[in-house]
Amino acid sequence: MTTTAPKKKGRALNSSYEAAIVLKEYWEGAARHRAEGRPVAWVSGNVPIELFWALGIYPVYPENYSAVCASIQRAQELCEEAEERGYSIDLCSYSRVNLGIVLGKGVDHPDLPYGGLPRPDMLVTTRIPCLPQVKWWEVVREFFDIPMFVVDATMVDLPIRESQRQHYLGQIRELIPCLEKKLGVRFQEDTFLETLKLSDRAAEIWLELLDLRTAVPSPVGSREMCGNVFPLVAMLGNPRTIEFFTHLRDEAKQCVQEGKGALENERIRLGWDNIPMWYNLKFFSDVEDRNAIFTYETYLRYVWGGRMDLNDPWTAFADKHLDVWLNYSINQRVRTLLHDIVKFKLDGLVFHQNRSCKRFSMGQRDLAQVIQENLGVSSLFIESDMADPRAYAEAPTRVKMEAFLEMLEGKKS
Amino acid sequence: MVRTELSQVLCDPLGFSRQWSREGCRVMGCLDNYVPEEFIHAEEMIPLRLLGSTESVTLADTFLPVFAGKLARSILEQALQGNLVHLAGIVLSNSSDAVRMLYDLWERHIPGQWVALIDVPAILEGETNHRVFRQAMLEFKEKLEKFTGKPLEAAALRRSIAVFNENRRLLKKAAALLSASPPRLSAETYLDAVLSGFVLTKEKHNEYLRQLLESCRRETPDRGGQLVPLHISGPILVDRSFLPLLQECGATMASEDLGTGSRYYWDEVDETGDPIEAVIERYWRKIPDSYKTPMKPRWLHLLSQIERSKARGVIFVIEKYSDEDQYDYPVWRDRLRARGIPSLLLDSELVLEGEQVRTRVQTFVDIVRGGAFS
Repeated sequence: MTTTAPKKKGRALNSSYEAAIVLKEYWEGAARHRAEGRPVAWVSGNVPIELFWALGIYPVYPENYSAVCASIQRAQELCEEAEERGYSIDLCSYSRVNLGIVLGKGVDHPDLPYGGLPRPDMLVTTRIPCLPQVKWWEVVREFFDIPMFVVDATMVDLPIRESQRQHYLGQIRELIPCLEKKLGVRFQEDTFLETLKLSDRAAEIWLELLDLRTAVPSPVGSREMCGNVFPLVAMLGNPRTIEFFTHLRDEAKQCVQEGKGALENERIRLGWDNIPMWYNLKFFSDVEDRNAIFTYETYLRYVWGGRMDLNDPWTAFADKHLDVWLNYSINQRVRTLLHDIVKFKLDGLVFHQNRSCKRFSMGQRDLAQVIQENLGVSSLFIESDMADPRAYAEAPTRVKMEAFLEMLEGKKS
Repeated sequence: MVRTELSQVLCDPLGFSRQWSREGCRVMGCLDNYVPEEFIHAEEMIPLRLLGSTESVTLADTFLPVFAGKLARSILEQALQGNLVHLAGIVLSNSSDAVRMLYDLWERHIPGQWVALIDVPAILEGETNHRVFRQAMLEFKEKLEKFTGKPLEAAALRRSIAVFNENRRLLKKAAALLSASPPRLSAETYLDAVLSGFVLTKEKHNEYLRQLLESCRRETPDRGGQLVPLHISGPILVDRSFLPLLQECGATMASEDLGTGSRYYWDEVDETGDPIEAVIERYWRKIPDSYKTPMKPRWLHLLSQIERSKARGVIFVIEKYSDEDQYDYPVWRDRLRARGIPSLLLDSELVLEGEQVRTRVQTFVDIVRGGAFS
C-alpha cells in the first residue's frame, strides 16, 4: 500500500491525498509501457475500458490529461496553441488543450506534465459522450496516421433496448479482432471476465462511497471527490483502483458512523450538474464558509463506473457502458435527478452551463424547471467551461452564488 | 420567368407550405440529409426541409443555450411560436447533439405534434453499424405507416424514387451549367434552384428545373464578366445575399459541396431491386455529411467538385457552434494548401454579417486573383 501524505487543512478524508499518487502512477505507468514497446491506445471517455486492461493495451486518456493541464493552470496556453492553428474557440476545451499539444509542442515535450503524453499506436473512441468526440479523434488520426476505431451508440431511455445492446456488442465483437490484428495482442475471455470483476468491485465501492454522502452531515464534498474520481474513468479493471477506493470508502464510513461531517455546521446541501471547472475546484469549497456543501454530482454518479450483473457478463458490460448520463435522453435525466435530489436531501442544485460540453448542458433548463415544480428545489445556472478559464467570470459568478445561498438560507429559516 | 418562380418560393417557405395544408395536403417537416424523403413522398405527403429562419431567437433560449447553434434554436423557436402547427409532423435524424436534443425538447414542449427520430449511427462503417442503420430506417418506415394508416406500397415507392432521381439528375445538370466556362447558369439562380427544392413538391420542382435548363440551353452565355471561380463548402447556406456579395467582390460560386446542396442530392437510388432496400442503401452510401464518419468520401467529393469547376479557391461557410465542421476546417484547409488551393473561413449563423464578410471576401478574392497565395 502506498503511504499517504499527512492531512492538511481542507481535506475531509486523509485518503483523498492518495489521489495524486494514483494519478502519477497511472501516467508513469503509461510512459513505462510505451518505453517497453508495449501497445498504447489513446482512448476517450466511456470507451470499453476493461477490454484494454485485459488485453495488455495501456489506455491513455487525453481528456484526463487536459483536465490535469487545466488544474495546474496550463490549459489556456494550450487552447491558444490550437486556436492559432484554426481550431475554433467554441470547440471543446479538452480537445483544444490536446490539439494544442499534438499540433504545437508535441506530445513528448519535457515541459508538459508527467513528461508528456505517450504516443499512441491506435485510437479508440466512442460517440457515447458526444458526437464531436469522434471529430476530435479524426484530427488526431490525421496527425498520427494510425488506425482508429469508433464505437457508436444511440442515446437511451432506461431500460436499455435489446437492439441498442446488440448494436454495442456487435461493435465490441468487431473491435476485439481489430485490436488483436493491429496491436498484436490476444483476447482471452477468462482474463477479460476477471477484469470485469475488478471493475465491478471498484464501481461497487465507489457507489457505496457516494451513498455515504447522503448522510447528514456529508462526510466529503465535491472538491475532494472530483479529485478522487480519475481511477473510475481510466483504471477500471486495475486492482489499484479497488485499493484506493476502499481507503476512501472506509474512512468516509467511519466519519458517518461518528456523525462527523466535512463541515462542522452543515446547513445547506447542494448538487452539481456537469463537468467541474478543473481550473477552479476551489469554487466547490468556497461555499463552505457559508456552511454549505456540495454533496452530489451527476458527473461522479452517472458518467463513470456503473455496476454489472456478472451472471450475464456481456449484457452487463454493454449496459454499463450505455447507461451513462451523457447518453441519457432528457426524460431519463429528469427521472434520475428527481430521485437523487430526494435521496441526497439537496436544498439546491447548481447547473454548470459548460460551453465545452453541449451534451451535458442542453436540457438543463428542463431539469431545473422540473425539480422546481415537483420538489420545490431551486437552481442556479453558471456559465463557464470545464478547462478554459477564459470562459469563467469570477466576480459575477461569486455574486450569483452568494445570492443563491442567501436565498436557500432564507428558505431554510 | 422560371427564375422568378424559384426565387418567390424562397421568400416565404412556411407560407408556401401552409397553403398546401389549407388545400388538404399533409406536409412533413424534415431536418437533416438522412431523412429518407422518398418514404414520405410515397406515403403521399410533402417533405418540407426545415432550415430555420434569420429571425432572432427568444422563446427557444429558455430551453437551449446559445452554443446549441442557430439552426436548432431557430427551428425550436418557430415551433414554440406556433409557426409549424400546420405540419403533420416532424422527422429528425441525429445530425448533431443539438438536433438530437431537439427531438427530446419537441416531445416535451410541442405537445400533440407527431415527431419521429431516425436514430441512425454516426459511423457509416462496419457490418454492425450497417445493420443498425438499416434497422433504424425500417423502424422509421413502420412508424410512418402507423401514422398514415397505410402500408408503404412498393409501386408507390418506385414512383417516388423515379421522381427523386430525376430531381437529382436535373440538379446535377444545373451544377454542370454552373461550373461551365463561361457559366451558363448564375450562382444566384443555382442556389435558388437548389433551395426551392426543399420547399416545392419534387414534381413541381422537376418541372421548374426542366424549364430552367431549357432556358439556359437557349440563352447565350454571358462572356462579359471575369469572375473568379470559387468553391463553397459548408453544412448550410441559406443566406441568399451572400452570392450577390461574392459577385460584387469579383468572384462567383462555380461549385459547392454544401449540406444543403450537392451533398443532399448527389447520390441516386438504385432503381432496380427491392425499392425499400435501395432507398436505405442510398442513404448508407451517400456522400456523408460532416457529422458522419468516415470523412474521406466527403473530401473526395469536394476535390472532384473543385476539379470539375476549376475553382481557384474555397470559401468555407461554417455555422457557429457547428463542432463537426469546425473540426474539419483546419484539416481541409491544410490539405487544400498542400495542393496550392487557398481557402477562407466565414462564420455564419444562418446569415453572414454583411460588411465584415465583404471585407474578408474582397481581400480573399484579390489574393486569389493576384496569385499571391503560397
